[in-house]
Amino acid sequence: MTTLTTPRPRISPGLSHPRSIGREIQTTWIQHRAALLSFAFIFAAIVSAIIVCQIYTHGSYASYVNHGCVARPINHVPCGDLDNTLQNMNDVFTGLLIVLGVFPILVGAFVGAPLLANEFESGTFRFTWTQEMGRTRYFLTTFAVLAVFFTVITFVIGILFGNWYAHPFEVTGADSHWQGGLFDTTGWMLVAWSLFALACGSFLGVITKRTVAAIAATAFVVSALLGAAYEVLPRLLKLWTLSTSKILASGLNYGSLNGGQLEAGLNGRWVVGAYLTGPKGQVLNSASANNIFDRALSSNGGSVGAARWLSNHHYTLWTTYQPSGHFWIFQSVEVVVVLGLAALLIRGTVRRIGRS
Amino acid sequence: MSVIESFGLGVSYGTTSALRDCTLNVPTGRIVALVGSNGAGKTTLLHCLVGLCKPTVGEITVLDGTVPGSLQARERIAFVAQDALLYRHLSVRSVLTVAGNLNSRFEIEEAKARLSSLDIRLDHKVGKLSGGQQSQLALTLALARHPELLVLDEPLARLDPVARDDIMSLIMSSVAEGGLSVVFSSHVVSELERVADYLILLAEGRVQMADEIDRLLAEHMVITVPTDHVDDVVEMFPVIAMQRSPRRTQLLVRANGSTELPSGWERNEASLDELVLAYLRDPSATALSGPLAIASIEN
Repeated sequence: MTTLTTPRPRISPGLSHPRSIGREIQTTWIQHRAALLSFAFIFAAIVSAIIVCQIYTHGSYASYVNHGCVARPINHVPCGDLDNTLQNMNDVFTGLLIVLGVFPILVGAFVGAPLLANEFESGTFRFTWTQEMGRTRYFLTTFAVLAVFFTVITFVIGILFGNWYAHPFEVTGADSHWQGGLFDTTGWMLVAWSLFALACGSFLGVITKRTVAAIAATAFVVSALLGAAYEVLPRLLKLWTLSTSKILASGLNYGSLNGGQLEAGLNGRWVVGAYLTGPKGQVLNSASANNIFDRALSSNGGSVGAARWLSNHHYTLWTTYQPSGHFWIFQSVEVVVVLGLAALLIRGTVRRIGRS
Repeated sequence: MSVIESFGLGVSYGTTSALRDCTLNVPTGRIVALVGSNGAGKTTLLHCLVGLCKPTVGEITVLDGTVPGSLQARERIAFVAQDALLYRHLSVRSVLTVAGNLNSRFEIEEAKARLSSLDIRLDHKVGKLSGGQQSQLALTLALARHPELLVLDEPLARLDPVARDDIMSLIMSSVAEGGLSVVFSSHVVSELERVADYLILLAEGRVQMADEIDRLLAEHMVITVPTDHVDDVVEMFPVIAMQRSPRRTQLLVRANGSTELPSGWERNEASLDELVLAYLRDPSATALSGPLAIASIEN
């Protein structure tokens, strides 16, 4: 059989249309509608829970503030009762904190991992990657659209949770934004971890080429790294600390001296340790410091009397702390590290799909 | 003007060679049938044409020197994969939209009209369509891009005879409009002669036969001779296949049709079916035209 070859008819002017962001968003929406709707629902549920819980907490917190409990010791009536009420509400807060801790894992496992693994497993990459857009641009535009979606929702959740809902618990000292869990759920950190999880899922998807395997691997890797960040953070927060002398009675409440105790301090500080110096300015070891404290507490006048005893005998309690101004520096460093890892994974993914 | 040009093309997956030393030069405007046994390397060669697979050795270009997989190639080549793999969870309408969004040149109304004529509803999920309908949809998406080269991997595999005829008619009418070349792989040898005008036969990853079908047929013939004359035939012609019986023997030989035959020998034209099946049964036989043939003889 022979076929005549004549020039192909020209394409009508209306046929050629440039690619646009709108069309790329539409493509991503069509292909990932189920995942996007699911996460929009989860987003709505979390935001609703935060709003309802914050409103519920607000009444008790307002009483706490109105009774001047912020500046008073906890044994002042009715501050103790109000503090107990707020502590009980902290359980719900902790529950939501756990949900937010899991959120990046869900993003990585159920959106990132299937992104390319599904294409390989079902064979549809042979269709998609041979279209004019090409595999690299297809992946990058799809990833970018998903990244914008998750950036917006995680930023909103992080701001509502970390800057609004958490506020009463931080003021009462029940929680601190320096703590491992809360540190990783502020607006920017939640965004950074979610984008990392998305990139990690994509990369493991192109490596495994199997959806279930990619989901499992992503869940494991992201969980492990979040856990590692949680464990490493207290050690990192001991770097670049400041010290201040402290002779307040409340300053005695630091548990084991010289033992690296970490807890919330005043004015957004994060106390990472305390130590006692003697009359000549020498740092006392734990045994000596505890001995001195026992003698101070055995003097009359309770903790106020103990503080006076320490002062009279020229003993000084020092606390080592991160000032509140360091918080955003630490946040920025972790955001840069996490987003840097995400960028490396995206680069690795692009290289892998270019070779496959 | 060549639609496929390859030299020494080889593709390996680990220690396994899928293609070896494939040298081709296929002119444009042809419907090229790619035939071979299972595992002969047909899909690998097609994947090389569309950029889904990169040569381990040698080189391949399409449409006059364009690198497969490059933007220039993707703009001009449409591919329908084996089993017409599309997004099963999407509706036909959504798949059309996605295909339109992935290409700057896509005739969506033409595609809708064609699907309508095939009774394929736009609101149906792709996964709910029959195998034949999925093949029709995949081909419609490919043709709506108005490609210069259409690459089809086993487009007939899942089709009943009517759907097969429809697909082939569509391909032929698209080619008849001009400017379109088609390369398709197939196991359905009986359909080839009606549709294709160029044949590439792969065996064990090598090009066993590649030429215009008319020329291949002209260069082969079936000779029926008394069985005791078989040795004479073997001396005169390269024999590709032989069917021996006690009295008469039929031989498929490579020879010009105008060659004079001794009396008592009966000459018949070879059909494409016979030719393809004979070469498939004997992977060591080759039928390469022009410089390729010379090269293979020298080797």
